[in-house]
Amino acid sequence: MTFNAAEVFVQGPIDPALARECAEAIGANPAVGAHLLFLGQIRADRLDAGVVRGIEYTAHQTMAQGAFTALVDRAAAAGGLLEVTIRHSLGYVPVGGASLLIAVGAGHRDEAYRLSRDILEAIKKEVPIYGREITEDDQSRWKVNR
Amino acid sequence: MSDQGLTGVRIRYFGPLLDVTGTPQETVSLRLPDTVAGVNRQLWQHRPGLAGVDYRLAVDETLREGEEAVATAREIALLPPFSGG
Repeated sequence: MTFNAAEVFVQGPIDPALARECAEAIGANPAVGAHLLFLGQIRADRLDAGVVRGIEYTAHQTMAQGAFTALVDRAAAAGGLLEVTIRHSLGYVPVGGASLLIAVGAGHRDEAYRLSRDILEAIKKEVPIYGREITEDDQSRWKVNR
Repeated sequence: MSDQGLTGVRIRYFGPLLDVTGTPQETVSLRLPDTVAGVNRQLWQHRPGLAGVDYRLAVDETLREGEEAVATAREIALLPPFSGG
């Protein structure tokens, strides 16, 4: 398994074609029996300020890269992680665009589901990324993770 | 760099703190060494709007807490709760 935190951030929405590339890359590992792909997409939430049209992402990029490496190392140490790809957007992502991709390959489905969820929750808690929700009439509010 | 115990430190603001400070970064003269809590008090003197705001402090990219010592620092990042994903 190789993971390069320097490749995680992409400008703007994540190209859905990357999902196919991940499936092919993970599928090339003959020990993999289960792939799991998670895509986080921007919702048109209705806020007090209006309806969300997109989210602008910023980050402390070097600290974020360290946090991505640490959480993948921890997932790998827990066992079962054979392949992993993570992408997260920076900059503006409109409603309907994907801002987070997590693709994992594991031997079995239980491991794949657990690993994908663990990595997702760790990203939300441990990586210094910030989203500003922007409404259709250009009001904005800093996103809060629940 | 050091003048009568003062050190110029690059302070970086993230997320909602950008609305408090109106700038992503600035250089602030801090009296070091100090504790994390003491550094916060110095920053609040410089930027009163930061007092009472929920954030953690990273000294040269390492998260630090309350009574830990800050002997030197090139960069201090003020990190509110994260909201990626």
